[in-house]
Amino acid sequence: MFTDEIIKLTGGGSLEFYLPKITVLGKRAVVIEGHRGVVFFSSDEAKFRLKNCMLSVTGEKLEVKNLTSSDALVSGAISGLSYA
Amino acid sequence: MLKHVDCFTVESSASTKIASAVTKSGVKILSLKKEGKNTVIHTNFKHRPVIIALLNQLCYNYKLVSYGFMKSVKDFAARKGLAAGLLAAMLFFMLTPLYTLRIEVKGDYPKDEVLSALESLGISAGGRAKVDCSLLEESLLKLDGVASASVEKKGTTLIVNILSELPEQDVYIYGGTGPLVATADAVVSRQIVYSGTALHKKGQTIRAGESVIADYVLVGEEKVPATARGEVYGLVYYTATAWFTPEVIELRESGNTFKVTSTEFLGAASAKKDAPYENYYTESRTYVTGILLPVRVTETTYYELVETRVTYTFEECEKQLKASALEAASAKLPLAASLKNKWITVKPAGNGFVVEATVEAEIRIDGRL
Repeated sequence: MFTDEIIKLTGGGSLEFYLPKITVLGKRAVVIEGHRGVVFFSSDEAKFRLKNCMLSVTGEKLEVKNLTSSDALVSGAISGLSYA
Repeated sequence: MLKHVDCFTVESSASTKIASAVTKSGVKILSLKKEGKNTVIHTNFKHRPVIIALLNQLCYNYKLVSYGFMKSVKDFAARKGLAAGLLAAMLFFMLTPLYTLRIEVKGDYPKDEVLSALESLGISAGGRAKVDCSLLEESLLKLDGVASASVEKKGTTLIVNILSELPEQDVYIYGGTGPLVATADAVVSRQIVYSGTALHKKGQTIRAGESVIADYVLVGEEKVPATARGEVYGLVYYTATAWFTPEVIELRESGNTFKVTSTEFLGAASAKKDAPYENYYTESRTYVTGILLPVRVTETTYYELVETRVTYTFEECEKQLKASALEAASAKLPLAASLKNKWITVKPAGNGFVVEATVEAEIRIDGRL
């Protein structure tokens, strides 16, 4: 129901096609689907380019796993997510 | 778990640039991390040429370390719990066959004696000792009253099969009673030999008095004396015959009768009269007359019989002849005989026929002289 409303708000079509999907797995990992590239990466922060904004994952001992041109998994001690 | 991974340590902190270049070339980065001023990426070894070409193109210095089986082993070893579990399982399976955790005693020999015998040989439940099954068997066979013993080790269980000797009274000692002989002429139908040797096979014809079970058993070529014991059954045949002739002479009544009356009074009888006919049959009636002085009166009627020639057809007599022949043959059967079969044959003989009935029966034919 909620998803249907969002699809209406965004003008219909597939949500996944238009918007990235961010899945936060506790404080251990963040799965990012539909990014458009890694902008910055260090052991404290990882920045990904999304469609209309930037996603910043902060934490400690960060590591990017299973990185492809559209998907990534950031693992480590996640402390925050922010959009800019 | 056993994947082949390449680890590129690139001397650059521009991890983003490297990651973007690699992912744009369609290669999946298994791991990306920064170690000081270096960027470390792990990729599948099959993408090695692509990564090397890319890094050369970007003019980065890099170091390649390839991890194969040993990396997988190390990864596995890093999972301490799993490794410890596997090691423990391996040790368990290596060591447990050395232990005997359970002893299973089968058979009628006292279990306590078996266990104490095993204990004296260093084998006990829960103990650790090398089990030599053949040696144990030999030792168990030396126990008093043991007829047979076998020992088998299955995992941690020692299985002992041990049987006692039969009691003395169950052992039949040869008494030299001679062979069993046939009590009648017969065709052997079945035989059960308890001891001794059967001398005939099924279907063989034997005569009364012939030996049927010999008082020995063959061990190789040698004849070992044994009491002849067993049961021998044979088929015996009994026949009975009836003859049919078309003309027979029968005695039939001629219709002539002659009545004679005699009296008897106080012990005195009147004189008897001879029969008036050559062939006859009589009917007698006796009564008493007089009240004070009784007189016994006997009336005898003679009916004359004459020889008459009578003609029959075989069809008229066939049923009766067959029945009487069969009845006569069956009457010869011993009481214990088991009737197996019966048949009737009709053969012409002279101007008549011979009807022969045969019955086949099974009887026990073994006996002693």
